[in-house]
Amino acid sequence: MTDVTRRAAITGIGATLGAAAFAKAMEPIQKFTADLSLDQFLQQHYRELTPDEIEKVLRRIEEETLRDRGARVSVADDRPIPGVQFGYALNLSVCNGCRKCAEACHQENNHDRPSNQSYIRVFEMAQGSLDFEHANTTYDHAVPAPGKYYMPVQCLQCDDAPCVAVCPVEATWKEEDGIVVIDYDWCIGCRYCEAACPYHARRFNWTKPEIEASEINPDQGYLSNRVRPQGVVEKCHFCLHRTRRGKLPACAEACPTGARVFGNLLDPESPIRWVLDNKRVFVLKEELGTRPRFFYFFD
Amino acid sequence: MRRRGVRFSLLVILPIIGIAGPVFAQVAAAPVDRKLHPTEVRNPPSLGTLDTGLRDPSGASIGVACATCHDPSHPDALARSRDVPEDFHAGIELHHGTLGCASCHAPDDRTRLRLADGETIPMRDVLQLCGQCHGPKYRDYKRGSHGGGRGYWDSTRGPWIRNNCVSCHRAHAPAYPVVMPAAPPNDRFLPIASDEPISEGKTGQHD
Repeated sequence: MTDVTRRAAITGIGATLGAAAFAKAMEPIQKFTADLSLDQFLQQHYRELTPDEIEKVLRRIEEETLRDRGARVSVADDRPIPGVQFGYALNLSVCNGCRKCAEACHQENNHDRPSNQSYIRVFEMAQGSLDFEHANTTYDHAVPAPGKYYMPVQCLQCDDAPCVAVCPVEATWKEEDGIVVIDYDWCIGCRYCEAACPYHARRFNWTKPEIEASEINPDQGYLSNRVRPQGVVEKCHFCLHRTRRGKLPACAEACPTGARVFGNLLDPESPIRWVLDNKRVFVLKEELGTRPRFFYFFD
Repeated sequence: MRRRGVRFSLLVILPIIGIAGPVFAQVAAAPVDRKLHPTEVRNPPSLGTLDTGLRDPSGASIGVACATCHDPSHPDALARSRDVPEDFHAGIELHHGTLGCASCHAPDDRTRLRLADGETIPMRDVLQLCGQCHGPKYRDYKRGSHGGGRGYWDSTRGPWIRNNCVSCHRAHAPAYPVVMPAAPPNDRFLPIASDEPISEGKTGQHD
């Protein structure tokens, strides 16, 4: 007869159950860290990287995309153009709610396919109201519906951005050309920014984004449309991998009604300046003092 | 005393030249460093297609190009012919205010457009024709806030390729059509909305 005391048996059972419970509790983190390479874990903040280090990071992301997703992509690090301040305006008189902008964003920016995610949310509201509580974002009927108007909302690139102020790790900041960006490799996923944004412009990657290799847009930017990791926040970046090379954002090109006007606020001859000078213009929730770079106007 | 004055002014002027020189050089160099790409406007088709009302075995409608009869390279003899087959043109649906064919098309040459003062212009100058009545839209278009386009916002890097009036509007029925939207997001909380009108009492929708 072995000398197993009642005390030892209970201690043993308790220890076993405790270890099992701990392993179960740690499981999500272990799965999560399987996606995180050592190089990425040790990587510095984007703004502290030297040009050589950035080059290595870009190549690492390209290799990881090829290895994990089977897609050959090129990741660039486009910097702000000196003398350029981006601005965007949208004509509510002609927007017909067709969601072509949201669709173009979905494809351009390598969004998660199952959730049909996009940085643009189109609100259908009753004419004569600006009531987001009674707006509809998942309408699926012919547009424009009688008595309705449509307001696409994306990141407004505020000059006094609440999302930037609340980030505890400075993973999001405003660049010299006015675009608010996120270092996806520095974000800790606390979602403070998502809660702080009065426009609900930020999205959280609850799951690892799913996207077919053949559908991945290979023209990518570090701060913009590269496929995001799980557990980080993302948002509209004015397609900076396009706009910092002089091109129009994907949503502006996709708009079939010509409602979107994009350009350099510092160029007095630009269409955006003409709109701001001559149309009836407003910004969303102006009373909050966020000073958006995205304007709405009427004919 | 005089020498001191000269020395003082040199002390002041030399640093100013030192600072201002490079600044002026930059300002002067900026405009000539790149070639500007002119904005391009998409050319409208010279003549369209007429729906014959017939269908091919796959069910697609059969159209006849206007140029089949109205030769764009010759003054239009058919347009002056007495025996115009009226039935043939009945398929053209005109929903454009009170306008008729001759409001926009030159009666003697259906390959050209006619302005209100009687002058005829080629089809590609459609903006000028529509701009006669739609002044505010024409003004907005010229300033870049109507009509959209693709390409570059920065003309130092590439062209902005703009639409013309009939890229988006059908000339004979220009009101923008009702369309089905792209798919809605698969929201975690919101079902795809039904077609029921949203009443005041319904719970607010959040996502």
